[in-house]
Amino acid sequence: MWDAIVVGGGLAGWIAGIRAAQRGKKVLLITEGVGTLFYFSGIFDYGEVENLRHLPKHPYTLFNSQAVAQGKRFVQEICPEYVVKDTPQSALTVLGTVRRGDLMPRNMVLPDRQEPCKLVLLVPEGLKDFFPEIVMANLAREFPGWQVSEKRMQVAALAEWTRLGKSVSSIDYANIWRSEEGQIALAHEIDEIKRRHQQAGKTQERLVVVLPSLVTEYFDASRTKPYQKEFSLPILEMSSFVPSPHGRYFAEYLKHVFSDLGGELMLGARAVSFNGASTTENQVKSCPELTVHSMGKSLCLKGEKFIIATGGLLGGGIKVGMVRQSIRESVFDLPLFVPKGWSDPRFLAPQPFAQIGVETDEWLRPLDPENGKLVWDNVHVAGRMLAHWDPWTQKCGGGVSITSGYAAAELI
Amino acid sequence: MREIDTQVVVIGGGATGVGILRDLSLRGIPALLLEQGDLAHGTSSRFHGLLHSGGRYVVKDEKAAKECIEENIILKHIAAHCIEDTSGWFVYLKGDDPNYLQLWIKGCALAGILVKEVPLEEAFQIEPLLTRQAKRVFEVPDATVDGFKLLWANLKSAQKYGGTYQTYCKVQSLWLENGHVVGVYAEDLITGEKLQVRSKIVVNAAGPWSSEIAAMSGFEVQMVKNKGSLLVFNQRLFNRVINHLRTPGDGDIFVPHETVTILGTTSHTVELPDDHLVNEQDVTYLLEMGQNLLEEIKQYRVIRAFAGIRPLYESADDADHEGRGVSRNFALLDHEKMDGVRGLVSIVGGKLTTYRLMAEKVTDWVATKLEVHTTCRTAEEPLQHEIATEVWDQARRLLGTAAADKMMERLNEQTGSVVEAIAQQPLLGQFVCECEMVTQAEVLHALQDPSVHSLDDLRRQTRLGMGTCQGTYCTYRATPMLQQAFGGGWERTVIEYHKLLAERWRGITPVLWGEQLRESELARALYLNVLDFKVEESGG
Repeated sequence: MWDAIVVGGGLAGWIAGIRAAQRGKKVLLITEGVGTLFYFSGIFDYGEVENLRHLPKHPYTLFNSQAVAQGKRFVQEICPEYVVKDTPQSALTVLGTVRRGDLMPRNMVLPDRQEPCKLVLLVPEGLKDFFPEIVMANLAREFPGWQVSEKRMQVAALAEWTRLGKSVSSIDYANIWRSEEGQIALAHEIDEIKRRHQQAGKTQERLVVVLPSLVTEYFDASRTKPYQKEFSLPILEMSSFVPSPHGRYFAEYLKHVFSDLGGELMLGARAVSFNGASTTENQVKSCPELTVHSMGKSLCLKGEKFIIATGGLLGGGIKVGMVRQSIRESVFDLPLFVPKGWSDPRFLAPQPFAQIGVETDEWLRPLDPENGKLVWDNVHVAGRMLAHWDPWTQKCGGGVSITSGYAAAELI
Repeated sequence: MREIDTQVVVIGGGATGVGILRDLSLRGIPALLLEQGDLAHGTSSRFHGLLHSGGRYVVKDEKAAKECIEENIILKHIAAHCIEDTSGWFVYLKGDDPNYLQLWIKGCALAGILVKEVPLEEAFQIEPLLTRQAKRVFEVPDATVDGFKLLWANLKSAQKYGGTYQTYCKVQSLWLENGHVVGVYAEDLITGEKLQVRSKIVVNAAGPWSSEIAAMSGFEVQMVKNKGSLLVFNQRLFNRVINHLRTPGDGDIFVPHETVTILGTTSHTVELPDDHLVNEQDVTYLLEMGQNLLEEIKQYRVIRAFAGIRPLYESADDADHEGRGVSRNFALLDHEKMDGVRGLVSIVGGKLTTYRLMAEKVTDWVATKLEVHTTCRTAEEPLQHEIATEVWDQARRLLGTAAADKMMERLNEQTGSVVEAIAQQPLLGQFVCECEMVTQAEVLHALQDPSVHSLDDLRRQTRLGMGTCQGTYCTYRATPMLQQAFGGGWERTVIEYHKLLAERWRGITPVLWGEQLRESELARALYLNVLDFKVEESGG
């Protein structure tokens, strides 16, 4: 018997699991796949929290500002490289444009625009889905009056590979940067930039090296403490494209934090159903156990409480059948809010289908949208599965997932 | 005002128009083709891509069936690189009309279509998804054809013999003198420049827009605009064309193409020549019909719906129509005979399989008027070129066989320069489009074509964005090349992104469920979050 069983290994699930374990609860986290952190840019967006809180039934209406702030602080606590500030900060996209963000690693935060510096874009040879010319042009556009230059670099280990015309993903490069040779090569390039700069006699200018993808070890995910070198110039990392090295290492890191706190993990397992029935007609159902399929076996797991964070349309928590004949929460068949309109003719406009999800009471317990009645007494819903929001147009994906995951853990 | 003098103006850059341009050019007749959009933006890119054997028409229309099988054989010979010789099956199901079956077998024999019965057990082995309701299966020489490739091959051939064309050039009116057509007035939609083209003959090959063109001078072309909707699945469900052996109807043809399968079609009369919207009822209906041949159809992922307008000829008088010496399926309208106006001919009806024959008939007519006596060579002269063995070898070495072969099919004789570029700079061999295996070098090559004005034009030339990701990744990957080719800085590039994504979205919204919905959420996450594009205002 666990105090809580968390279903889903995405951002909300991990946050919930870690927080519950930190509070000394006996927690099991079950996940079938890898969640959508693999599309993670490295930046958590919170959006205009106070404005969004006024939208009817938006998940933010379930939390007060204190709860939102608590979640933010919690991220910083478990991952100190993430900087919490009261005002939004800015970072570079993979295209070299400037975007805002609320919570991001220190190395990603843009330098103060009031203090011009010289940016040197260091481009690893053959990096897939990265366009130096575009980034250079966008940097020049975004920082008028700043000096921007480019330097290409080749890593010995990949020389033959790129010579054959094969590209290298940013995840592969991130692996290289975590090795001793990679760190030395990078440090060498950076020293070289500094040396040339000094030779040109421009010592008073502030110099910043811009690097695509993840190069610094901002959390020690592998627990091996790889060789780590101090670079001779400040580094500015750009946010990730997919597949995201930030997402990959962040997920791995969260997994370690969770395990270190005594959390139990079941990977590659598919939660199938709740086994529970109401004792009488009018009583709210309480769920004693969960059926899980894992490695060809069927298991029944007992828990006091359950946190459902299996994601939305993208994560696979909600499935929409052909011609929308069936729209289901794919594990527990929770009743869903389904918007009347379905799509907007403009692709990048708010899409009605994004609002689909589970409605809850203020304790994140699922409600039947038909009659507002509580469905399960001991089940809490967190993350993308919540109804009435759109992470992409409201720019609040990280905010809702972190806040609801944290809040769910507080209810255990 | 730019003035141009030529012998023939061809209006319409679809398969028929470009086929006519090629035929005229091969016979040494100077001609200029004008197209209001990009080549093939209309019906020629909006069909199922089936190269008919004629089997579909044998019962109802023997003449059309004969034309199909003859053209089928010719095209497999002259345009092998645009055709996948898949063969096709006609499947007779439990409960189908046995009389029709008998008529069909007889009809095929009469039309000269080779039919081979496939034992049922074998059929289920070869095409495991085929419905178990199948009673008898017959193989015919159906094939699949890439309409884009075919059209560009025709264009390249026409250019070689002096044919000229201009895209994004809209005909404003016919130029009339003493009641006869002596040319056209047109406008270059990109530069705004006006054109005045004098010619001896104007050929109206504008497909669904034909009646609009004729109406400019008060002439009538009797035509029905008939919309056919189609669905694209994300995989090859079948490896050959699958037809339902019954009176031709809706949703009874599956056509495999590269990595996808197309299911078609529906049939509705519409008013506008560009009414390409597919509604959900059409989708549901197609899926229901498709279920007859593929029982588990609802398990598969539909990535897109699209529609094309068939410009069907409708004669007031069938006898008169027959008198013109062309089949019921296409008609050559001599406006001198019909309206007493010299210098104008319209070609309507027909199907892609018979585009070459239609072009031949029109060009024969034009040649007679111009007293040119060269004979038609389009049935003999191949559209593809022998590619040097060294180029083949080098391309395969650099890109692997699958990608190299696809590229050579698309580029044909222009492969050499692209392969050379990759050899010089191997990273240009990276794929921009992983579904259709289009390399950076090929995109750069296509962008040099002066008729490519947008990302969407690029799509028609390279198939970029037409695979299973529907533009999510390849649009992004084309960024640096677009900016280089089009200029205009970042703002222009963002506009191009928006246009292509909007075009793709139009085809996805009618099938927005299942894995395609999931993929769309991924695309939204990429563009709105990772790339931080601006949120659009709701379009209502």
